[in-house]
Amino acid sequence: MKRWLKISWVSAVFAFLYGPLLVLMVFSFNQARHTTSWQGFSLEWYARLLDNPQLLDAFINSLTVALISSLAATALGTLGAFAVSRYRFTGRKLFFGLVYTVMMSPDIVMGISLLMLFVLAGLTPGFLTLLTAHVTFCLPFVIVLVHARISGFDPSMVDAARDLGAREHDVFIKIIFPMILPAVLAGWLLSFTLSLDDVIISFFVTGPGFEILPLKIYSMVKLGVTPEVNALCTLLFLFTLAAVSAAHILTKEIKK
Amino acid sequence: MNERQGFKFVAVFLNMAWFAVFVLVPGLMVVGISFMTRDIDTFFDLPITLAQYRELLDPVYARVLSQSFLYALNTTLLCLFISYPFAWMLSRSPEHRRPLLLIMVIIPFWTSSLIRTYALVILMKANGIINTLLMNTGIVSEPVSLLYTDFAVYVGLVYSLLPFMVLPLYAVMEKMDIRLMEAARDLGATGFQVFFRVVLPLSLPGVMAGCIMVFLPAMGLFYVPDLLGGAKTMLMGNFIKNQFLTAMNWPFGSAASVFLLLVMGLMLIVYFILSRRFNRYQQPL
Amino acid sequence: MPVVCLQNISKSFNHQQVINNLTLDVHKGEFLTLLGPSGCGKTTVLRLIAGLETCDTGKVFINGQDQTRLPACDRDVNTVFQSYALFPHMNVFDNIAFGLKLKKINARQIRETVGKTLALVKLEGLETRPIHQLSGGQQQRVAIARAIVNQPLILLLDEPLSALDHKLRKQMRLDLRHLHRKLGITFVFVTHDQEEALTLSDRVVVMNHGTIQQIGTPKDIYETPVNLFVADFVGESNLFDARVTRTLGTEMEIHLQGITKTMQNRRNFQPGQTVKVLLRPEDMTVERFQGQCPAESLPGRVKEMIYKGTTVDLIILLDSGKEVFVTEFFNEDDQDIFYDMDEPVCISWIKGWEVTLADE
Repeated sequence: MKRWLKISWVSAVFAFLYGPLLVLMVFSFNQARHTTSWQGFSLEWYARLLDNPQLLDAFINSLTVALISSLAATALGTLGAFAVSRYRFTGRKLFFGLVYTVMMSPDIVMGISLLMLFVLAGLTPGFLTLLTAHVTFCLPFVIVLVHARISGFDPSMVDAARDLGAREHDVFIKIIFPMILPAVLAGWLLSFTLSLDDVIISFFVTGPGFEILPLKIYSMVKLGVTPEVNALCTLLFLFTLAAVSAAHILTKEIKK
Repeated sequence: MNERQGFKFVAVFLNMAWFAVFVLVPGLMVVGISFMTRDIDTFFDLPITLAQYRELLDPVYARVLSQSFLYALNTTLLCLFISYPFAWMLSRSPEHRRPLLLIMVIIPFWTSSLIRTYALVILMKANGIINTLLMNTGIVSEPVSLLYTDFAVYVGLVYSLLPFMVLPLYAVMEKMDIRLMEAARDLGATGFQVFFRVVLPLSLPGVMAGCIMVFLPAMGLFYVPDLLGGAKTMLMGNFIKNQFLTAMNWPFGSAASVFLLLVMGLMLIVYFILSRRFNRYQQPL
Repeated sequence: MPVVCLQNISKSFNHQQVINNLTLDVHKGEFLTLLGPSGCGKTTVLRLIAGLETCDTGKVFINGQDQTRLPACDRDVNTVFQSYALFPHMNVFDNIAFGLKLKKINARQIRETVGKTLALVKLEGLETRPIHQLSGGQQQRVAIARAIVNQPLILLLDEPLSALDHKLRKQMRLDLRHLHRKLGITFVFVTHDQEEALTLSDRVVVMNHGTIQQIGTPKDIYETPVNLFVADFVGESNLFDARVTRTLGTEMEIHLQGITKTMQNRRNFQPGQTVKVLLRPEDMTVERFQGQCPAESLPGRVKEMIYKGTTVDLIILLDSGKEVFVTEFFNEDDQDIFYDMDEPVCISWIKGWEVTLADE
C-alpha cells in the first residue's frame, strides 16, 4: 500500500514537470494551427521557422553570444578556480563571497545593477553589454565546478610531478589540466545553456538593435501564440536536454 | 619562481578585476542610488535622502510588496509540500534507478523557465488543451478561464521553481545516514517520531537552501505574471522592472532592489546558522 | 663525503617552529630512518632534502653541492609519497615513465627501463593497467617503481607502508630491504613505527619537536637511549624512580623502590641525584618465592599473564604499588612459566642490563 502511494506521488510530480513540455512538443508537429484539435503530423511549423528571417537572426545572435560568453567564462573561470585553490592572496575570502553572491542573487537585481552601470558608463545596450552580462553570471558556475574538482586533488600529486622533474607549466599541462578537463567541459556546457536561456538579465542589458531568442519568444508569446513558437521551443528544449545530459555525465566523472 | 608568480598574478588579477567592475561596483551603485533623489535627465541626483525607503512603506507600494511577498511565500510552501516527500522517495529509491531519476529532475531545472511557462499558456488558455479536453468530454459547456488568474500565476511559479526545491532537499537527504533512523526505531520510536525527531531536524539545511532558491526568484520572475496573470498581479520583479524601464525612477527601483537583497541576506544568515549546526551533527563518531 | 649534509636547518610554518637548528649527515648507500611522533618534523626534513620546501635558515648540501635554493625538479632526489600520489589519468606504464619522458629519453630505452623496474618490484605485465584497478600493495609498488626508475642519488620514503595491512607491511619491509641492497642507493625513510625503524635501518635518527634526540644504530637506540624520550618512544620500558646514595669509582649505589642496588655509574651521576632506571621487559627476571624476597629483589604479585606463543607477558604489581611489565621466553620444558593469579613473586634483573638516565 505504501509502495503504491510512493510510486503514484513520484509519478504525479514527474507528470507535472514533463506534461506541459510533452504537450508542447507534440503540438509542434500538429498540422492544425490551434491546439483545439489534432489534424495530423506535420513539419510545417519547423519549415516556417527557417523562413522567418527575424527569428533566424535572433537565433544566430543568441548562439553567438552564448558561444563567446561561455568560452570566455570558461577560460576566465578555470584560471580563477586554479588561482583560488592553489594560491593564497589578499581578498581571497571576499572573492569567494562575491562568487556565491552572484550565484544566489535574484536575476532582477543583477539585471538592473548592470543596466545602471552601462548607462552611467555611456555604453549603448547591445552586443557588448549583453556579452559582458552573460560572462558575469556564468563565471561563478565555472569557478565552483572547476574548484570542486581541483579541491578533490591529492596535493602530493603536484609534489610528485615536481619531484620527478616537472616545471610549473609541465605540471599544469600534464597533470592538472587533464584532470580538471571534465569539470571545465561541464562548466562550458552549463554556461552555454545558461546564456542561451537567459531572459531576465538579458531583458535589461540588451538593446533594440540586437535581438536574442528568448526575448523574441517572449514578445511573440505576449502578442499571441503562433505555432512556430511551439516548434522553436521544442528545438530549444531538445538542445538543453542534450547539453545537460552531457554535462551531467561529465560531472559524474568528477565524483570518481 | 618568477614564471610561477607571473602566472598567479594574471589569473588572480583578471578574475578579481572582473568581479570588482561587474559585480561589486554595480552592487554598490544599487545601494548608493537608493539613497538619491530622482532626476529626469540624469536618472538620479543629490540630495541624499531616505525618501525612497519611506515611499516603499506608503500603503500603495507596501501593498505591492506584501502581495509579492505573499505570492513568494505561498509558492515556497507549495513547493516544499510537494517536493519534500518527492525528494525523500527519490533519495530512498534503489541505487540503480537513482541516476536516471536524478537526471529527470535536473533537466527541467536547466530548461529555460520561459519555455516551460509558455507550455503552461498552451495548456491553460481558452482554446488550450485543458479546456479542449474538458469541453470535448462534456464536463463543462464553456471554457473555464484558467489563464489570467491568481491560480495560473501560482501554477506558473510552482512549475518553474519546483526543481529548485527538489535538488537541495535531495542533496541533504541522500547524505542522511539510514542507520540514524534504524537507531531511533531500535530505541522505540514510531514512524512519525522518527520523522519529526530525526529526519526533519537533519533535513533543515536542505529545506532552508530550497526555500532560498525558490523564494527569491518567486519575488523576481516577472514574466510569469506577465504571461499568466491578470492586470493586477504584480510581483516585486514587475515592480522593479517598471521603475527602471517605464517610470525611469532609478532611486526608487534601487530601494526596492535593496529590500530584496536584504531579504536574501536574512535568509542566507538563517541558512548558515542551520548548516553550521547540521555540520556539527555530521561529525564522524 | 656524506651524500646529504643538512647544516643548521630551521623551518617554521605559520609562526610555528617545526625544525629547530638541525644538523644531519646522511652517509652514501645507507638506509637511514627518521623516527618520531607526528609533528616532530621528520616529514619536513624529508621535504627539505627533496626540495619541496625551502628552509628559513641553514644550508642543504647534496653530494657536496649547495642545493639549498635548487627546486625539486632539478634535484637528483626522488620521493615515494605516503598517499602514493599516482597520476589517476595515466596507467602504470605512463606513471613510471613520467620522469623519464621529461628527460626526453627515447621511447625504446624508456620501455626497456620501465620493464626492468617493473620486474624489480614484481609487477611485470601490468603496464597498461589503470591505476584505480590496482590493489593498495600494487599501487605502493608502482609508486616505488616510479621513483627508482630515474636512478636517483637518494630515495626518500614518506611513511610508505602506513596504509597497508599488517601482513602486507611485514612483507613489504623485507622487499624494501632487498631493494635497498640490490640498488645500492641511499634510502631515507620516515616512520613513526619504531619496530619498522629498528627492522629496516642502518642508522636511526630519533626526532622530537623539530630536534634530533639521538642518532645511532638500531642497537644503540634500543639498548642505550640517551634520554627519557628515546627510551620511552622505542620499545616497551619500565621506568623506576631512584636516588643515588653513594658513588664508588665507576660504580654507584642507588636507592630504588625500598631496596638498595649497586650498578655501573656510566653517566657520572653524583650522590643525592635523582635518576630514572630503565629496564626493558625482557631484561627482568621473575622468581617464585615464599616469604621474604632475597636482597636486591622486589616483592610483588602476578596480576595478568598473557600467553603470546613465543613469549609470555606478565604484569606484576609490586608491593610498593608500581606495575611492572615482564616478558619471559617460553620454554616448553619449563612448566614453571605458568603463574597463578596473585601468586607472590620476586622481581630482579641481570646486573648491567639496566640503563640509568637523568631525571628530566
